[in-house]
Amino acid sequence: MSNIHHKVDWKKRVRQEYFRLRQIKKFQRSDNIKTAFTSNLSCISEKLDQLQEHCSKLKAQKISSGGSFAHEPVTKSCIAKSSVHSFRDQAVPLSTLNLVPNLPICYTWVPVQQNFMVEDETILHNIPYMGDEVLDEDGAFIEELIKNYDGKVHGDREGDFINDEIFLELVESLNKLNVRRGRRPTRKRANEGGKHKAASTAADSSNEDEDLTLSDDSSDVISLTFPCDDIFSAIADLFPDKGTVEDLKEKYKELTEVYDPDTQLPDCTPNIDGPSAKSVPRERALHSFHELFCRRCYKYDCFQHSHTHRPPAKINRRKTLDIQPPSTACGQFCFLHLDGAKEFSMFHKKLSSINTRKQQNRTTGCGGASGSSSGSRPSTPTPSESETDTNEEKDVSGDIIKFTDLPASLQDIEWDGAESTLFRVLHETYLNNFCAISQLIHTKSCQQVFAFALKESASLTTQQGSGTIALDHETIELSPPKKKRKHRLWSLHARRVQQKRDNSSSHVYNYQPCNHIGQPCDNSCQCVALGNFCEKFCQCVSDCHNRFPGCRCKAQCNTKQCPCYLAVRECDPDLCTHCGADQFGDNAGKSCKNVLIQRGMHKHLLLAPSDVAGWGIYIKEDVQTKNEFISEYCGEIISQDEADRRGKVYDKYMCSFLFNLNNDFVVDATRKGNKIRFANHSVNPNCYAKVMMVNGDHRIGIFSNRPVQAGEELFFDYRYSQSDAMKYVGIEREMEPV
Amino acid sequence: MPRPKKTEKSKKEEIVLDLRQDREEFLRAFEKPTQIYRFLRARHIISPTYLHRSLFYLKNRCSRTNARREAFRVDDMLKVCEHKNASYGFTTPRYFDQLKIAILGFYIDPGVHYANSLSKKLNTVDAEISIQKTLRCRRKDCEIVHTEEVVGAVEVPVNPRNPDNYEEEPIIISTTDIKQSKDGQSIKNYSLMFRVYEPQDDSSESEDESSDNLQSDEEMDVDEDDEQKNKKLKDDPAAISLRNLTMGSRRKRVFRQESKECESDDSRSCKNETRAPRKFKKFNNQRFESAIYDADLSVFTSEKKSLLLDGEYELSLNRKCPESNDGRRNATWEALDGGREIKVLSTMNHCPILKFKLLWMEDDKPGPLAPPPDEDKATSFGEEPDSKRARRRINQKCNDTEKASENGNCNAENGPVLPVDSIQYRKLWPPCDTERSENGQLEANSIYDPRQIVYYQFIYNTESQQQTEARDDLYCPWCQLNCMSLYGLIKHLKTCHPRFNFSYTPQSQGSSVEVSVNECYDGSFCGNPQFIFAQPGMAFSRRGPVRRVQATDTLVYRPRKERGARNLNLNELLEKEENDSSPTSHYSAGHHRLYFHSNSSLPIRPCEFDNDSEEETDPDWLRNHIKKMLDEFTDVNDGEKPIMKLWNLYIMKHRCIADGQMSNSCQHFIDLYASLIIRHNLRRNLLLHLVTLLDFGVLKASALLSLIKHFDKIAEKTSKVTSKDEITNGSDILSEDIRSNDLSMEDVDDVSLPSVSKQSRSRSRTVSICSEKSTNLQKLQEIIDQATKTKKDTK
Repeated sequence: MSNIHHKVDWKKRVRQEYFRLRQIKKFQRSDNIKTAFTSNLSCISEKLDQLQEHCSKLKAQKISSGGSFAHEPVTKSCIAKSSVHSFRDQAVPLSTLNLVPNLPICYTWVPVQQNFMVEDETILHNIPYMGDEVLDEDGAFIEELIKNYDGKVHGDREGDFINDEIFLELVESLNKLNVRRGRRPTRKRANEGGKHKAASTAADSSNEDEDLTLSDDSSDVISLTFPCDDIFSAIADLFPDKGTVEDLKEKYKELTEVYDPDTQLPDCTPNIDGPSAKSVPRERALHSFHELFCRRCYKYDCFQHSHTHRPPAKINRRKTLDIQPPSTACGQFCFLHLDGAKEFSMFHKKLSSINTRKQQNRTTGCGGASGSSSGSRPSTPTPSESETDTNEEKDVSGDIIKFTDLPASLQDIEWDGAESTLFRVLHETYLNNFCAISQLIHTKSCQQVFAFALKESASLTTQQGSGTIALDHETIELSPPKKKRKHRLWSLHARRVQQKRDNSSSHVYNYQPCNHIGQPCDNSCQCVALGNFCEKFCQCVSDCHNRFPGCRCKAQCNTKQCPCYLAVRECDPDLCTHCGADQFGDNAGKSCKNVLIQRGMHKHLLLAPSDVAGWGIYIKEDVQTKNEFISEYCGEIISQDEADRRGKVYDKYMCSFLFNLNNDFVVDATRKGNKIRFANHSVNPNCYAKVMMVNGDHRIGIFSNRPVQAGEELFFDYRYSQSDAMKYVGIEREMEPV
Repeated sequence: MPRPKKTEKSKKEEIVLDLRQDREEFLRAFEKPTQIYRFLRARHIISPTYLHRSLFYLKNRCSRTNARREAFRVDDMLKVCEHKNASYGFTTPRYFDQLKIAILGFYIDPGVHYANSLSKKLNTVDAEISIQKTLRCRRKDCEIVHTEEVVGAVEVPVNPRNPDNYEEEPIIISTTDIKQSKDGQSIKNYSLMFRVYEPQDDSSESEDESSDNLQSDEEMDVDEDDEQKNKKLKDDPAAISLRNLTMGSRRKRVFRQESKECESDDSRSCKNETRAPRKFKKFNNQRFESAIYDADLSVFTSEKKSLLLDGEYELSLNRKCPESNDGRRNATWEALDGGREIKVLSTMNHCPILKFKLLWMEDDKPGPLAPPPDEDKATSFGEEPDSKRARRRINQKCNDTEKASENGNCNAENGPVLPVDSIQYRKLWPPCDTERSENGQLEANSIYDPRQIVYYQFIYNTESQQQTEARDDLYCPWCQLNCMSLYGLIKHLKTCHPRFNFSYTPQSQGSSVEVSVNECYDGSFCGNPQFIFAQPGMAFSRRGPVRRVQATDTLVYRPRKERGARNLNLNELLEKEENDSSPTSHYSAGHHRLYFHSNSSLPIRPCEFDNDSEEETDPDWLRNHIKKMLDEFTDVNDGEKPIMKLWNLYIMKHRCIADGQMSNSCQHFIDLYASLIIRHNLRRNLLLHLVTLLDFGVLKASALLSLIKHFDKIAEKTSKVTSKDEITNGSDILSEDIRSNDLSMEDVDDVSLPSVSKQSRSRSRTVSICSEKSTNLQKLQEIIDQATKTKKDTK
C-alpha cells in the first residue's frame, strides 16, 4: 500500500521536476536566442559599417541622390489640383523609373573554394516547404522523408523527449531533493554519518564494480552520491522508451564518469609554454599535433579529410633527416670541447649506420603488430629501442663517456619540464647533434644538452634492467586514448566495403592512404584493391611499385602524351619536376597547365539571370581554346547515402546541385559551393566536367568544350553518362532562330 | 437601274471607307515607333548622348579633318594658348577713348512685369548709365573713395518686337580718365552702372512706397515670379525645350556678387563695394529710390585688363536692393539641359534683361561697327565675322570657352535649327571611285546625285498592304539626319531604327526601301543593362567620367568577297539569301547583361566589375569555423590551440599545395606571426608544430633549424623594440584570434557543469556564438589589465 503510494509519489515528483527543468531550459533557450539575435544584429551593423567604409574608398558613383531627380531630365510634371480655391495647385516633377525585371529565386548558400566534408545527418533538420499544393496533395512524400531519418526530426521536443543533459539534471535534482527531505530521517542519519566517507571514496575511485555492489547493498547509504533506485524506476516509468531501470542507471554512471572533470584533465598535456609544463615523453608532447595534423592539406583538424583519411606520421623519414652530428665545434663552449665528447659523437656516427640497418630488419618483422596495438601512431622507433642498441655496443667499445664523468657544474643544471620534453622531442630527429638541439631549445647550451643526454641514457639503462617488454608496455600505456570526437562519419568503412561488392570494378573509389607497415603494396593493400595509385601520403616506401611515377614532360601537360593527363590526374608538384608543376611564385604556371585546380587558377565568373532557366553563370573573359580550365565545382562532400536522402528533396524541388565525385562520395553544392554551381545543363554545352585526382583528392574540374567568348553563359552536361536518365535537369529552351 | 448606281455609290463609299480604314491601320502600325523615334530625336537634341559607335558609314558627314594631325607637335598647343593670351592682353583699347553704348531694349517677362512694382504697363522705361569709380587713396586712413557720375539717360522701349529696327542715339562715354582720376589718384575699379527707372512723369505712386514695404513685397514677388514661370513652363513642355535649346543655356548673367568675386582679388574691395550703395542713398536719395533695376559692369579688372569688348550684350538686372535679392531664390527645378542645374545660366531666364550694344571708338572716328584698326585685334576677333552679329556674353570667367561656342550658337535666333545641320560638312570623298566602278556598283553615282529619290514603302497589316512615300533627299525620315549618301542613309536606318525592318532594293529611278514594323523588337540589348538598375541617368552624367561596363562591341562584319574593296558598298545592304553558316548568337558578344553579386544578389556596379569574389579563399565564416572546431577540443591545451589556429588560417589564406613549398611557407608564416607568437609566448609550441611537420615528412631537419634561427633573430629584434615601449597592439586582428581562443578555453574551465563543454559541439551554432560573445567584453577587460600589468613590470 505504502509502496504503491510511495511510487506514485515519486512519479509525481519526477514529473514535477522534469517539467520544472524543461521550463528552465526553455527560458535559457529563449534567452540564448535573444542574445544571439542581438549579437547578430550588432554583427550585421558592424559589417554594414565595414561595407560603407569599403564603399567610400571605392570611388563609386552614388546610386541615387536621396530621391531627388535633379540630375534627370524631367519630361512631365504631376499636378494635384485642389478644390479649395485659395490653395494653389501642387506640381511635382514626374520621373518614371524603369521597369526592373524580377530576379530568379536564389536560396542562400555559403561560398567555399574548396570541398568541405560534412557528416551524414542523422535527423531531418527541416521539413522542406514547397508550397501549399505539395503539402496538401503529397503528404506521403514528407512521411517518406521522415522515415528516411528513422522518424527523427530536428527540434522534436514534444512529450516524452528526454536527452542526456536533461536526464542528468533531472536525476541530480531529484537526488538533492531526496537527500534534503530525508525520507527516513531517524535511521538514515545514523547510517549516513558512518558510511559517508566510505561512499565518497568509493565514488572517487569510480570503480564500476564497487559502485554496483554498493548500490545493490543499500541504496540509502550512497544516496548522497548516487541516486536511489526509486528515482530511476520513476523515470523509467515515465519514459518507457528509454529503457529499464538498469539501463538508466548505467547511462547515468556513464554520463557522470565522462563529465567528471578530474578524469579528463590528465588527458590534456599541459601547455609546454605555460608554467605548469611537465616533463613528458615525446609521444605525449606531440600527441595533439600528430593526431590533428592532416598531411594532405597541411592543416590541423582539416575539414576536407576525416581523421580516418588522414595519413599518420611517416616512419620512413630518412630523407628529411639531413642533419649530421657536428664534426666541428659550434663555439667556444661547444660540447665537443668536453673530454670524450668527440669520441662519443664519432662512435654514434658509426653506430647509426649499423643501427639503421638493424632497424630496417626489425621493422619488417614486428612493425605490423605494433602498428595495430597503438592504433593512432604506430611504432615510430622509440628512443628507448635505439638506446638499447647503443648499450649493447657500448659494452664493446667501453670508453664512452658517462654522465658521472662530466664536470659537476654541468651535472647540477636544473632542467624544467618543458626543456626536458623538448629535448626528447628533438633528440629523435637530431640524434646527437647537441649543438642543433641547444639552438632549438634556446635556453640551454650544448654542453648542458650533452650532459642531459648522457643522463637520460643512463637512466634508461637502469630502467632497462626490467627488460624491454616493460618499457614497451609503458610507452603504450603512456600514449593516451584517441581524441574524443563525436559524430564522425559513421559506419563509413562498412558501407565502403559493401559498396565495393555491389559495384563493378570500373567505378572510381576514393583514395585513402594505405598504412601497412613493412609490407609491400600487394593485394592486401587497400590502394591496390581499390585500383588507386599509392600517393606520397601512403606509408609505403617511395619506390613502391603502386606509386604513380609522375611525368617528365617538357611541354604543358595538356595532351595525352602526358602520363598524368592520361591518368586523369593533375601533376603532383612533388613528383613532376620537369613540367614546371613544382614552380611556384613568379615563374609559376609558365609551362605546366595541368595544375590549375590545385592552384585555384579559375576564370572570373559572373552571375546573372540565365537565358535558359533561373540563374546562370557567365564568363568574364574570352576562353581561347578547348580544354581550358574554367573553375572547380566545389561543395560539401557527402556520402552516397546522404546524397540519396538529400537527393529526394532536391528532386522534389526540381533543382539539384549534386555531383558524383566517386563511388564513395558526392559533392553537393546546395549549401556550400562556388559560383560555377549556377551553370545550367545543356545537351550542347560549352563546358564539360571532369573528375580529376588532385594530390590524392578527387576534385571536379569544369573545362571548356570549345572556345568561349566573353559574356557567354556556361553550360555543361549534367548527365552521368549518355545512357543515364536525365535526373536533375532544368528546362532547356530551344535555340531561338533569329 | 438604280441598282448599279447604288452599287457604284456604295463602291465609292466603300473606297472612302477603305481608305480611312487603311489610313487607320497604317497609323496603328507606324505611329507608335515613329513617335518614339521623334521623341528620341528631340531628346537627343536637348541632351545628346555620346556613345562609342562606328559611324564609318557616315564618314562624309564628318566635319573634322585629321590633316593637321601629322604636323602636330605638342608645342603647338602651348603656342596657341600663348597667342590667345597675348591677344587678350592687348585688348585694352588704348586707342579708343570713347565707349559707345546703344541700349536696344528692356526685356521683361510680362508676368513679372505686372507682379513687380511696375504698377502700370509701360512701353518705355528710362535707362541711365553712370560711371562708378573706386579710387585708391594714398592716405591710409580714408581707404577708398567712390565717385559716381551720371553719363546719360535714354528712353528704352520695353519688350521691343524688333530690336534691330530700333535705333537709339548712343550714349558716349569718354574714358580718358579710365586709368587715373582727375586729381591723379589711381583708380582701382571702374564700372558702369545701369539703372532702369520708370518714366519720371508717372512715378508718383511708386515713389510713395517706402523701401521697407518694397522689400517685403519683393520677397513675395519673387516667389510668385517663379510660380508663374513654372506654370507657364509646365503648360508647354515644348516651349521649355525650345527655349532652353535656343537661348536659355547660352546666356550668361552677371550677379552683383559674382562680378565682385571674380574681379576683385582682394576681399577689401569686395567689402567696400557692398558698402557702396548705401553711400549713394545719402547723396542721391531721391533718384535712387525710384530706380527699379540696376546692374553694374566692370570695365576692367584690377590688372587693368579690359573686360568689355565690342558686341551686343545682354545684361541681367537685379532688383534694386541687393540685400533682398537673393540669387538662390531663383533656383528652380527645371533643369532641362540634362545635367545639373547651372544657377548662373538659369537665372538669366528669370530676371529682366537690358540689351545694349557696346562699341569702343576713337574720338574722331565715329561710326557703327567700325573694324578694329589694330592688327592684334584683327587676329583675335577674326573668328567671329561681324555679319553674324555675334552676341557677346558677359562672362568674365571664361571668355575663351564662350567664344568657341559662339559659332554654333549664332543660328539659334532664327528658330530651332538643329546644330547638327548647321555643321559644314567637308565635301571629301575617299579616293575609291575607281574601285567602285570596278565592282559593278549599282549606285555609283547615286551618292552624288542630289535628286536621288527614295521610295519608302510601308508595309503593314501582315504584309498585305502598302503605302509608298517618296523623298528626294537623303534625310532620315525619323530623325531628320542628313545622311549625305544613300549608303549612309540605309545603313543608318538599319542600325539606328531597330523598331522597323528595312529592306533595300535598287530601282531604275532611285531606290526603294521597304519598311515594316519589326515585330521581334523587344527593346533588349538596346542599352547598357546597368542603367536599368538604380542608376537612372548615369549615362547622361555631366559630372565627369564614369566607368561603364562596355556593352556594345563593334562587330566588324565584312563579307569575304568584298574584302579587298574598302568602299562602302550598297550591295551589302541588299537582302541576302540565308546562307550564313555562322550562328547568329556569335554576333552579340560581350557583356550585354547586368551581373549580380553572388552572395548578395545585388547588381554589380561598373566599378566593382573587376573584383572577383572567388579570389578570397578564406571567407569569414570559414575562419570562424576553423577556430570554433579547434576550440571544441577538450584535450588540446591552450598553447597548442593558438598555434594550430594561426597555422590553419595562414595555410588557408596562402594556399600551400606541395611539400616542396613548405619551408618557404613556414618562413613566411614566421615572418608574419613571429611578433604575435613572441607576445603570447608560444615559441615552444611553434617548435613542436615544426617538429610535427618534420615527423610527417614535409619539412627537412635542416630547414627546421634555419627556421628557428630566423625566428630567434626576429625575437631578438622585437624584444629590443618592446623594451622601449611595451604596447600590445589592440588593433591586431590576429591577437583577437588568440583572444577568442583563450576565452573559450576559460569557458570550459569556469563552468562548473561539465555538460556545457560536452554539448558545445552539438549545440546550434548561434547559441555557441552568443556564449562566446557574451564573455568577449570580459575577456577584453582582462587583456587590458594584463597589458597594464606587463607595462608595470617592465618599468
